[in-house]
Amino acid sequence: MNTLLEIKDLIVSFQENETENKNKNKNEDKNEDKNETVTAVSCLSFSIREKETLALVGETGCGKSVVAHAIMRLLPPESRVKGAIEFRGKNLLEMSEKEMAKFRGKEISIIFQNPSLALNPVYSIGHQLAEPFRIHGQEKKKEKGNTTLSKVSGALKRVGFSNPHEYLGYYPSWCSGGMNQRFLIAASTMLDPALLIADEPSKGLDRDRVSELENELKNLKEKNENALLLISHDLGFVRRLADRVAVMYAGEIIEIAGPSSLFESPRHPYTRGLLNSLPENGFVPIPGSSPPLSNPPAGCRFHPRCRIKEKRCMQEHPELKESNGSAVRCFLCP
Amino acid sequence: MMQKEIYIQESPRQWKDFIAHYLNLDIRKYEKAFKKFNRGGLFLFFFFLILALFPSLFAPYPPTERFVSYEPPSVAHLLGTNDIGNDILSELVYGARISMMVGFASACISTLIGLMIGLCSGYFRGTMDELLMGFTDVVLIIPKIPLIIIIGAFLHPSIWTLILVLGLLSWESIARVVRSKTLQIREAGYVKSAQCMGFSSFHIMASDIFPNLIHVLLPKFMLATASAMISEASLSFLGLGDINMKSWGIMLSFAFSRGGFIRDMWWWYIPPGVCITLCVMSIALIGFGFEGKDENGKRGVDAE
Amino acid sequence: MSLKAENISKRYGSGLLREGKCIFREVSFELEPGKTFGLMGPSGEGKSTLGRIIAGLESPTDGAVLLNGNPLSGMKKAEYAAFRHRVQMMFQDPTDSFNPRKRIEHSISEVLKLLNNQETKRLQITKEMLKTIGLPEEVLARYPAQLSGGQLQRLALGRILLLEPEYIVLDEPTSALDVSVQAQILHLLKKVQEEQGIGYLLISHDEAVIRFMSERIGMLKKGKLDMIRT
Repeated sequence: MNTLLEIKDLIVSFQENETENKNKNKNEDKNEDKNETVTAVSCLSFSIREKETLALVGETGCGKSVVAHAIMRLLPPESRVKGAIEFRGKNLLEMSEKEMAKFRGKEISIIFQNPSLALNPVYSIGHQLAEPFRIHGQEKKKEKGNTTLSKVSGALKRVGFSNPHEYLGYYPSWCSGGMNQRFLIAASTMLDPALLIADEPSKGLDRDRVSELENELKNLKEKNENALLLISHDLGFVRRLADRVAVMYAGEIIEIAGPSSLFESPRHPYTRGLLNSLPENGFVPIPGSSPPLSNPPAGCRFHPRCRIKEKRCMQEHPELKESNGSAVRCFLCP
Repeated sequence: MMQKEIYIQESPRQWKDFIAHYLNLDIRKYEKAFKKFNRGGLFLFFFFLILALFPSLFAPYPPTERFVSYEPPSVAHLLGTNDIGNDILSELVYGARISMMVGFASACISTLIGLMIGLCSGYFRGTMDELLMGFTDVVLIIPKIPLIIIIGAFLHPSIWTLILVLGLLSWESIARVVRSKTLQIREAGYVKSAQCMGFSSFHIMASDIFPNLIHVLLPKFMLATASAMISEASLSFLGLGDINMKSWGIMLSFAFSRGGFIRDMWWWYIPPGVCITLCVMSIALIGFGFEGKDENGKRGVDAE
Repeated sequence: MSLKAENISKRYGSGLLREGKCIFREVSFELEPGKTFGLMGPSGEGKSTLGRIIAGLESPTDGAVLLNGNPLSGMKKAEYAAFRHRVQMMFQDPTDSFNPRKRIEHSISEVLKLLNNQETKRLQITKEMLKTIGLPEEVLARYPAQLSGGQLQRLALGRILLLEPEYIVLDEPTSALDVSVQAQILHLLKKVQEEQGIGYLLISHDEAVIRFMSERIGMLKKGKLDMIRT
């Protein structure tokens, strides 16, 4: 299978500029680091093949959402991005904003976290779902109304609404969160994007709704054959959906493997710790907390919390070692 | 790892870029200009403040000293003299203090009342809220200027009654804003846990809610000052001001009633008008400046 | 000391003529010191409302919360103030549980002032508290926005512990946190319970968390409380 998206040595850093700092620490001691650079993502490389589901797993603040936003080029202005994000051989970072706007939604589209907030409450569902067509100019003026609407209702049918015409006139506040989530998925997939990014789609949802969402995404994978970048901290959810799982820690990928091998025989000590803190494994915590991204520890970034660390781990920074389809960033793992 | 070409790319601000592309209009340029304008507001404001604090440094003569009346501008009297022979420039300088005092004092009163009423009704909710807000609505629908004219006609016209009346009649919008913000803050976890730990309502209002209200109060305060200054000018123009304390409004009023307009003495009526406009504008600009900077305490590094 | 809920019902939106919407009806249970009562159920069934009623932040439409047999609603001011310190509540969103405009130090010393501690003693107590919850002293100088969710949730617990409560209502204490941090917080809660003999009412939609923590479990569903484990 050919590669759809390739990220090479992506570095994203945020410069906290002085004016912001002034506001934040108003009358505060001046010696507190004035120009703190937070490197949210450092030297990240991975690739997604066509029709593949890659999951990006990690704790809050490890930089996984930053990756999604970097791909969509939706990062705030004070961020600095280095490296290359190649989509079918085209570097997204070199594109002009105009080209990128055409790309969004059509080739790459994103499902945001909170379904009720991502929809505009003052427009009807039908209006909002027809918007991608309007923006990407796939309709000629004459055939306006009907074809668009039939396309929209087709998309709604795909996500499991039996009589979609009824829902076109609904407003987001009339519908449950689960329904809104399905509307969003319909909206994001309507133009058949080659890559769909789901940014923490299961966060804050009830268990019933998570399984609903899971079925939705599964169906989508079977029917549409688009690639999916799934960003989540819900390990169970990821396990059931992903073809490959990448685990991130402190802005780096530390392990990539297939879900069965990752969940059954994790190699990196952090992955092992993460799995042990799951409910079914008895809530065994990893000691300590994630390092601050502004000042990561030298050597292996996990070494302060690692149980099996050696002297080497504290000094040298391990590289991602690849061996038959999986990769791990640890000296001590074979 | 392969080191391919590494370059730096500044991610643009989305909607501004959009506008720049499609409407050929770069908002960022105007934004910078606007910021400078804001600084201009600050500069103007301090200029008027210094005038108000130390009028004797700037005024060529004491405001009550009399010369030949109705004189056009000359080197001795830069803006000429008025009907009773006072130097207009001196009057103007001394008037700054009165105009600004009326503005700030009545804004203080109205902000204080608005804060109290808004905080109480937002925090306690229930019956208290309904009563206070009902009262606010009643005050809100009273036509201000006619009422002030009537009150002014009955009371002895003095600057203090003017301040009091203006202050007591312009707190409703502040109360409304404070209430809605308080309603929002009282649901926050830190207020709930403070209640749970047994802090008194007063302590919670003063130390947890009030600091989070300041960024809505400050612009409101500035705008209240500006509107009070305008009200003062219009009331004085109608002859309800204090003749012993000559504000810019009263100068206008005299220019009108003592023939400044008929004789086309522009140096009499234009300077106070310009002063009122500039001063109000500077204060309003500062208010807008405050409005932009809200919620900076809660921002963190969104590195997720 | 015992804390008991007796036949509590809660309605919302009831007026003179309307009956209002009943959220739950005649719920009774008892909290024991040093033990955890787990309350689970789907969201929107009033678990949090029940928790707030037990913590005395809301009053029930019918029934009563009894402290040592005395109903909360009939308490005198002094008694109520004592109750206020004895029963505490911990909230879901850790980023929201500290005032964003105050340093952590300020938020904590405020509580100590409330308890009439001497200034010299305050620092010592704060240090001991930080030791219990396993955080370095640097966090005191920070603003809440500069700390992580796990750290803030620890601090929220630590601040509550300063009041030496006998019962804590934990309203979804870990559902905003990552799995590894969740495990840490749950272990911390267990440790504190063992050391100080505090009774917990743990509210969560996560069955695994409830099963891990609680001796007794109740399920709030369709307005009724079913005991699952006793």
